[in-house]
Amino acid sequence: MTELYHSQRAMRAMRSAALQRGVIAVLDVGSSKIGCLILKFDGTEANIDGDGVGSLAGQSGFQVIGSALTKSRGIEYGEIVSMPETERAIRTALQSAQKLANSRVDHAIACVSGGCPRSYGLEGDIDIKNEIVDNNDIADVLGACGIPAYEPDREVLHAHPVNFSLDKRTGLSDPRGQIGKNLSVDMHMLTIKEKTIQDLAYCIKRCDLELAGVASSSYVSALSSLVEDEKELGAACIDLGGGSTNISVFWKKHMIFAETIKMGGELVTRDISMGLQVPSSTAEKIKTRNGGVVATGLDDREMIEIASETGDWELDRRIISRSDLIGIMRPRIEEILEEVGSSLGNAGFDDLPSQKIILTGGASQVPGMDSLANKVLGQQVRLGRPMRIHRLPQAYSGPNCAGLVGLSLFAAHPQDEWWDFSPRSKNFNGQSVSRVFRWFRDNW
Amino acid sequence: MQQISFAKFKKRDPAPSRLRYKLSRWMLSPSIKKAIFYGFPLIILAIPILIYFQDQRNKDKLEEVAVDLYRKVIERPEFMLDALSIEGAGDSLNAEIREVLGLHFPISSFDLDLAELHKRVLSLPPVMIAEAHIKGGGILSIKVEEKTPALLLKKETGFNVLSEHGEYIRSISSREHFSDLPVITGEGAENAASQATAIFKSIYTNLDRVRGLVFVGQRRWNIIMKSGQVVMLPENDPEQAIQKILLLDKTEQILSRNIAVFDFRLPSRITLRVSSDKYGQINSEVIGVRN
Repeated sequence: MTELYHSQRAMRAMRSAALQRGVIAVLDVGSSKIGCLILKFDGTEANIDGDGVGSLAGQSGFQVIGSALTKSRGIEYGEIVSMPETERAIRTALQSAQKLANSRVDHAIACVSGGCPRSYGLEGDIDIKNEIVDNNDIADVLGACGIPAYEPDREVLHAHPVNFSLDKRTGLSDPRGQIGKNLSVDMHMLTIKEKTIQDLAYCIKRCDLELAGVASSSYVSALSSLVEDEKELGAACIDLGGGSTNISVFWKKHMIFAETIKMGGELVTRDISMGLQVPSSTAEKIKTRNGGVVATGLDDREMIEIASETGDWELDRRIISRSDLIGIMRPRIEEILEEVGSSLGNAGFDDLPSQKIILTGGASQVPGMDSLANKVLGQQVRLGRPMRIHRLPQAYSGPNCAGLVGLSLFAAHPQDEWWDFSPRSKNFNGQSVSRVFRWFRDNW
Repeated sequence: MQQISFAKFKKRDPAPSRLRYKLSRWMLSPSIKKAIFYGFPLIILAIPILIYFQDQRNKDKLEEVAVDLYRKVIERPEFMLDALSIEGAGDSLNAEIREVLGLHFPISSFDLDLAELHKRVLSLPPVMIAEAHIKGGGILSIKVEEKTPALLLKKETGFNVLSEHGEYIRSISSREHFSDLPVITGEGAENAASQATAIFKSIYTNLDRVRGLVFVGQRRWNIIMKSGQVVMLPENDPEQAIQKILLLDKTEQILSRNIAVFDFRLPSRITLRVSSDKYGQINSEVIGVRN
């Protein structure tokens, strides 16, 4: 169990080293695009109070000095299918971002969307030795959690303690310093396939960067799109990406569920491409320029020229109405949203006090998306945009960059995870160690 | 419609090659960035300058301009010296100092090396102490203190004037200017000059009866009287011997007797020698002298 967290611990150490150096790159390796932001930490950040919310919701203290977006290559459904291609794409993004930043960066924090993320709810329960709960007790209770039997080819990506209970008093976010006898914890653990992380780490290493942290992209896009109240009362963030749709459910400011559906905007493009008999690049262009999901009478009269270069004049100079396009797009998007809905239903989203749903990601920009989602998912749907971070370029402030912005926030202020609490050494309890110290002091 | 070959339109890979990526990262590392930012402009500035000075004529031209500018500054009237004032030197020394300095006024004070001038003045034998400094009003002032002549050292030709410690001052051919100075001679006499001075001091009242001192065997002195008598002094404590002689002369008028040599080399056993031509006429007074 302990060796599993060594890599996560090492990445945390790497992250603090990078923060000391002041420059860190965040890398969102998606199926349709690879984004890279270079963050500069200038150390001007005010102290964060106990709620974890400082000035500007914890976004002060760093700024974006370099940014790059490039078309993704070699990645399908969030998983790397061609390592050299992916490496080249990452290299492209990194180089142009570094050039813009005019600074060399040595550490990167990346997020992964693929790898079949699977959520587990864990419970742990211990008796407290001293009356007052301290860090060691937290580490002990986290260590006492029953680990579910997941496959050996999976690795733990996140392990957030969501809720603490002290002597039947539940709903504590931080029981440290409180007095009690019995401490229990509810923890959310997310595992993904080990190979996905290994491939990504290898690609980043090939670009001469050290991996200073990995996060699930469901988690990070929710970090940037959800506001504090939504995180507290319960909300789901749906990141409609290119290759996959990432779902995360937040409650009590912690992620309690995450899942990836292998359907995304590229599927819609493929439908258009097949339905209209055009190359996928043309289909993408038509989708982004004229796409929509709610047809009105006006759309019957709005004609779209399809300019392709097959050489067949009849084929190249077709004109379709926008309603035709909507007719192709809507069923697919409905299907995706229904899939999301069933996934949320499986997760028990209906039991949360508030059932806000936030749509973000590139595909959420389709006009009429919110009204369609209202019909499919319920009334509490809104479109989310990532929050502003200092000196973020305008082109990166759209919902398609929610992951990047969230990753920046994650790099600046990661939430406490299991590996942030060092467990008590098994062989010596504190007493015997202090006895050894005393013996040394007395004899030397 | 014309078919266009695929290879022609094949897009270049937008990704930088691994080597290029590494190079760009290397170029962005802080030290290299700094080196390029400052180093390249410096090199670009330096190259034409170096090329220009490759030519000896250009180098000379610049040097000429620089020297000219330098002379213009240092030859401003504020820095010029017009006169030399020498204090504390006699006429002959004054002339010697002027000669040894060899300055041609007006001269810029930047061209003077005061330490060197001071050394040169000090190198003159008669000068004991010298000071050289620049006074306001364009005057180079040199203050000297001469050594006092105390002894004459008779050489084979002429005399050397010595100070009381035997330091050489000057040589003269005749004694006319220094007739009042006592004379010493003998091999190595200048080294024992301070002893000679002490001897002369102790016989100060009878100085006019003394012709001079002879340094014998590089260790002791003989007094030669004007009458031709010789007083041989001991090596150690010759002043005491002289006291004894003066005492004897006072009580017994020993010096006015007809004795050629007073041998005081051994203070406990004084020997007198009668002049050889008067051997037969030893009078009783001579014999009556006792230690």
